[in-house]
Amino acid sequence: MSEMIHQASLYGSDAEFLEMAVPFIRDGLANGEPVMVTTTSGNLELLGEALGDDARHVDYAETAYFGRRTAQRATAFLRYWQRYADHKRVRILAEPVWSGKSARDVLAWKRMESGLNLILAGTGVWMICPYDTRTVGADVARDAMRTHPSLSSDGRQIEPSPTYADPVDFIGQCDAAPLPEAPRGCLTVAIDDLQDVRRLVAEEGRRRGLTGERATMLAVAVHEASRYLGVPLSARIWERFGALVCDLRGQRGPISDPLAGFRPPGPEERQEDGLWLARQVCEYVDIRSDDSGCTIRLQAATSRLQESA
Amino acid sequence: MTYSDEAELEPVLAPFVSEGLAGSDKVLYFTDVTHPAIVTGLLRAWGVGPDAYIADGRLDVRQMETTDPDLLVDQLADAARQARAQGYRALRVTGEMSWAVREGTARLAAYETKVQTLFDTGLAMGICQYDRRLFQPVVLAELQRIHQGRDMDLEFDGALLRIRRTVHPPGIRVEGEVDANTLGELNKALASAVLRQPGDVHVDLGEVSFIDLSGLRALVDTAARIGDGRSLVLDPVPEHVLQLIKLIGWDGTPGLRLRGGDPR
Repeated sequence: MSEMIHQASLYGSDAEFLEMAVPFIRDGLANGEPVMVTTTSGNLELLGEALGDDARHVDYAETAYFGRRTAQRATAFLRYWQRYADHKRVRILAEPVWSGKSARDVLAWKRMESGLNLILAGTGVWMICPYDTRTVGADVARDAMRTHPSLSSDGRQIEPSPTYADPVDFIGQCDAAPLPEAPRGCLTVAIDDLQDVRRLVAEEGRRRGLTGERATMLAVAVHEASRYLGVPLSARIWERFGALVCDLRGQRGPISDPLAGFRPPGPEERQEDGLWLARQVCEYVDIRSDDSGCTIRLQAATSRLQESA
Repeated sequence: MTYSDEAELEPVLAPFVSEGLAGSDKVLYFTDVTHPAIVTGLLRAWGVGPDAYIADGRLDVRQMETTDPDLLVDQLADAARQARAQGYRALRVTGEMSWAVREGTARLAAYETKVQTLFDTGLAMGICQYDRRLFQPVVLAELQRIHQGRDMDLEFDGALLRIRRTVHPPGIRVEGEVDANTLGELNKALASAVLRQPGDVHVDLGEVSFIDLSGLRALVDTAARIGDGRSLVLDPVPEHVLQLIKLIGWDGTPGLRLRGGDPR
């Protein structure tokens, strides 16, 4: 198996994008390697025109629909790799949506870019992440160099990034700010038994208008996060615009793996499997540890969500 | 239970008898018209290995001496008390019910209710064998009603979870919540269903209100290991369970069939 390669590619025009992307894709196809591109619809169209007939052999996804949140995205990459596990090398061109994202989302996606160095370690994935300097913020372009070990301008060369940061350090900085305080007077319940926490969440979800299935899925997510954290714990539930929030606070020691729950369950059961499930079901799962315990904050869509599949 | 040929008896009676003998129960097998030797032969064929148990009195296969329902219940109660006095946990009873056709089915409901009262004491448990070729469907339906909820197919009955054996289709039915506290029971029921059934094993999850990741893993692992070209069929499956299995990517597990879908 080949070693994982994770590169950023900063481009400022359509031509620069194609100068990098086309050789990367064509080389992969020539080697018989699986190739996937997940980028904007604009760039997909450019690639289609540039590649001509060869484009038919390229897997593709409009980037907003290839993993809605970072945990889904990381899982989608791993699954793509697993699907072609008989290949030494799998090529992925992956350009997330950056513009229009909230500050917290930008941070979450930078965090994931750094985390991919660990999540995909040991795979034969060669991933190039294009950054459109015409649209991304200066901080996004700057951090691309910190989250990618190397850079590429032609889709072939591997130029080490001078500012690459160790992922654990980078993620530590992302997680440095404390989570916003829970609102005063929110529902707070002491939990001694997992059965109580899942019932509480299912009931609260239904009371706030979640339909049966979604309330049950949320209950499963909170149950699994609680199992990871361990009982006894204290659960707090409140609602804000766009999210039903559930804080779980337990006494256990710090959760040291910053990417716990980003890798999907494998053949052997692992402790973090439940956390992975929680991350798939929820919009956000944030973890903070301090001297007195550990908090897992889960946020799920409310009944007001109008998105369609 | 109801049956129409001997092949249907085996999956229910063989584990009922052998688990009792492997555990700490005494077993009483009442025949009506069948000669006890034939039953002993059947038990041998089912791999129960009855002879040593018959020799030491722990397994008793005998023709019933009376067909008076009241006397029968009294006999059963005596035998159950005696078994307990001898240090057994309980008396497992199974019997052919064909006598009731001659006796008249009018008193059958009363008999079944009395027997159930005895079973409810925990001294005894039993399976009544109703030959569908002999009984009117309406009579069987009425008996089904009496047996509902407390038949011998119960594998596990806890505060959160109940697991039953099913014969049509062969497998188990799971009701309630599966989590770390009850996972062992689910694993046990799955393992024994896989051993008991020569063919596909059906798992009815229709009344499962909650199942955690380890419960799902137990189902999927069982499917992956079932072997012999068989499948573990989950049917019916509640929507949230189906969603979870697909989300985790376990819907493609070899040996797993969902809602009667195509075998993989």
